Formats: sequence, structure tokens, C-alpha cells
Amino acid sequence: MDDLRNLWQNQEVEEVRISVDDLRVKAGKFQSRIRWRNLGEQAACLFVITVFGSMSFMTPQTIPRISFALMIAGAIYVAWRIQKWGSPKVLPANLGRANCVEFYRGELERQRNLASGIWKWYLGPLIPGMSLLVVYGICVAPSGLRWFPIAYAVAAAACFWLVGWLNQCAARRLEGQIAELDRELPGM
Amino acid sequence: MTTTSNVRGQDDLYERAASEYGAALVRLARGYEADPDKRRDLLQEIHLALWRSLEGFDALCSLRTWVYRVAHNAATSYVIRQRRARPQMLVSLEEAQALTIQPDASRKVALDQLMDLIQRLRQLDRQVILAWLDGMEAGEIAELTGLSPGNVATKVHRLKSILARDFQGGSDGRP
Repeated sequence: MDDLRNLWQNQEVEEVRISVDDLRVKAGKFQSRIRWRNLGEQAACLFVITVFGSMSFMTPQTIPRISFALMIAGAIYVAWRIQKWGSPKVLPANLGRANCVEFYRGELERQRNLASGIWKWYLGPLIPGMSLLVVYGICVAPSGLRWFPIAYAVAAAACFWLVGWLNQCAARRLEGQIAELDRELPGM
Repeated sequence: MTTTSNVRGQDDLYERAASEYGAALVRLARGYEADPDKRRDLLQEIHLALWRSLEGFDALCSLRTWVYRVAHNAATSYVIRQRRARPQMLVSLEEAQALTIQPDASRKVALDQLMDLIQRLRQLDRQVILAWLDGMEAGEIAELTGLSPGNVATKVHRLKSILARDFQGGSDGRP
């Protein structure tokens, strides 16, 4: 057995030296990526507010105005949740305090919750405004053009369903890994 | 304590950790990623995570345990992300018994086969085997992983029985 440990410990490894200055630069770039990501999300949210807000002002009818307001509210909610929960790619800061089991389970749960809750925090908030607008469009469109809001609704529903389905698959896979861990470590 | 001295302390601790455990971190990254380019990225991610974490090092555990925890946790996060992109079947130590490794393998082949076995293992089994191969004893592995000492002892016992059978000739110095 010691032979095996020797084999492992004496294997040839490339020397990796990363200076503290390099790490500081990398950490700076990492923070800047996060800042840009947050800015991008805020800009997208601002874009939605500007576009739907101005459309809301230009539209005299009440129902489209309500649907635009709902879409703005939905976009603000989504942006807030992304900001609050963070991206799955962001490493938590407590890496040295959590033991491997705690960390592994915590990460699996965090990502499972993000994926399984996709309808609640990402897709769902956008649905009321879009649905109201589509229903209104179908009601007021001339009979020859009624297919347009219907086609739009079908395409949007297909996209939403696909995103939801992919995330549910990911959530099921993560749930399986959590169950596997629980089976392996009963009582932990 | 000033902020500058905290930063200095963090930098000094990192220098010490990198010089004492740098080679161990390379071996650990090899256990998680087979592709050399991706492994380089993983290793940089681990070093960055280590440096950032040392700002909060409280000496409640040894520096070695801290370094291994950070490295395994950063690598775990990496594996979860990779598995979302490339789902693959991982096996437990019990299932790994079915893997066949040539008993008369040369050092390099034995090492490659050992690496292949490690990379196929489920997360906790992989962490236990990597820690054990790097010279940690059951108590330290329990502190690192959070598994109970009994659970670690069982895993190490199982691991030894697999490796004793499969790696009899692995370190004979042949090319």
C-alpha cells in the first residue's frame, strides 16, 4: 500500500507557480466579470422598462397598458432574483470552512433549487403580462390577422416549455445525486 | 490589525500553502480532470479560490486541512458544472471493483489506470481516495470530508482491498 502511495506522491508533476500579483489581477478580472454581468442584467432590465414603458405611454387602451406594466414588473423581479441568488458559476466564499460533504450537498441543493424553481423565478413572472397582451391581441385583431398573436403565443409557449423542460431535467439529475448522497450517508 | 497587515498575512499564507502543497494541488486536479487544458484552468481556479479563502483563515484547523478543503470544494463546484454540460456515469467504490486493472502494469500505465479509476469515482469516494493517496490518515480524512471516522475507515478498507488486488506490480520502477 505504501508503494502505491509512493507511486502517487512521486509522480512527475509540472511546477505551477502563480504569483500573488497574478492572483490579484485574476481576482480583479473575476470581480469585473461579475460587475459586467450585473450591469448587463441591469441594462437588459432597463431596456425592457424603457421599451414597454414608452409603449405603455403611447398606447391609449387600458389592457395593453396593464400588460406592459406587468411585463416590466416581471422583468424587475427576474433581475432582482438573479442578483440575489447569483449565478451558478460564482464560487461561494466559505470554501475553507465547509467540509466536503456540507459543501457538496449545499451546492447540489442550490443548483437543484435554481433549476427546479425556474417557473417561479424566471419564466412565471413574465407570463401574466405576455398572456394578457396575447389575449387582447386575439380579441381585437381583424379576423384575417388573428393568426398572428396566436402564432406568437405558440412560439413563446414552445420556448418557455423548452427552457422549463431542460431545467426540470437538470433538477431531476441533481435530485438523483442528492438522493444518492443521502443513501450513502444515512443520518448525516 | 490593519488592513495592510491582513493582506500581507493572506499573501504570506498563500505563498506558504503554494510552496508546501503546490504539487499536491496538481495531483488533486489530475484526479478531477483528464483534459490537460481544462486541468490547467481548474488548477488556476483552485489557486484563486485558495488565495481568496485565506483572508478568512481562522486556524481552527491546520493549514493543510484548509488547503485540501478549499481545493476539493472548488473542484467539486467544477465537477457539478461539468456534469451539467457533459453528464456521465460515476461509480461508487463498491461498483469500482468491477474495473479491471492489469496487475503487471508499468509505473506509467499503473498511474494512468489509477487516475482513470479516480476520475470515474463518485465525489466522496474520489475525495477519500485522493486524500488517502496523498498520505492523510483516517482522522484527517474525516475532518476534511465531514464523513464519520467509521465511514472513512470502511471506505479506506474497501479501497485497499481493490488496490491490493489490482496494483501489485504498480511501483516496481519499470519504465
